[in-house]
Amino acid sequence: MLRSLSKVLNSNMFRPTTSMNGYLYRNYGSDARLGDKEITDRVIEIVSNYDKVLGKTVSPSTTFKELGLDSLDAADVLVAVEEDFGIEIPDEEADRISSLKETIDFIKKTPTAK
Amino acid sequence: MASNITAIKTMRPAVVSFTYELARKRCLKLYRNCIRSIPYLIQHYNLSYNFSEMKLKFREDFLQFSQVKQKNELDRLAFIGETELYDAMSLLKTRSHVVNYFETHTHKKQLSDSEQLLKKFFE
Repeated sequence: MLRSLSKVLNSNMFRPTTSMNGYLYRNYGSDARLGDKEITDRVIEIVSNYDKVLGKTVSPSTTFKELGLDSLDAADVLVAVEEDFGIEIPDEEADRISSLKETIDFIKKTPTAK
Repeated sequence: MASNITAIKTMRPAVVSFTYELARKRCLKLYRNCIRSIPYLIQHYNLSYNFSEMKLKFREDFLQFSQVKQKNELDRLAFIGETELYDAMSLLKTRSHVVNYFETHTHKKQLSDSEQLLKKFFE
């Protein structure tokens, strides 16, 4: 019984052919994920609008320490990022994030960011 | 009886941090939660404070204990903060409790301003 079932499953009947590929994937709308450049620009804008960073040059490679932000400031910035992108950064991740690059990478990984 | 105790422990585990770093992380988590809860506090308690004013008050409270280096002390402070925030968010406090907490900061500031004005006047 199992052998016959495995034969049926292994047969070509259940394997998607190249011509069927288009029908096997749901494609109701275009990918809603944000682009890398948009994420970077928005994060830089949020950080550069923070009181203590005003007037300093902010690039994606700078760390919060280099900008003169302490741990509480970093938490402030992360909450502002959360609000702007409509996501919630888990505590383990928030403890780990210490630079703009890490923030951008986390948002890239999050599909619900908008 | 023993099973009852284990059930209570699993429900409400004693939160004691193993290291100083963990206690510090717990405090930062509390700070993030405080800031995240500001819009809800304004809405639920019909507060007339600015977002940045309330954030400043939280920040002042945290900076007040920035010199604390003992793990147990940090745990104690974090527990007090967590409980207060939980009570406020669960609407177990009244509006006057919350207003009183935020008023201490703004009231102090107003007094110092008026004092400065008076000083200038008398000079």
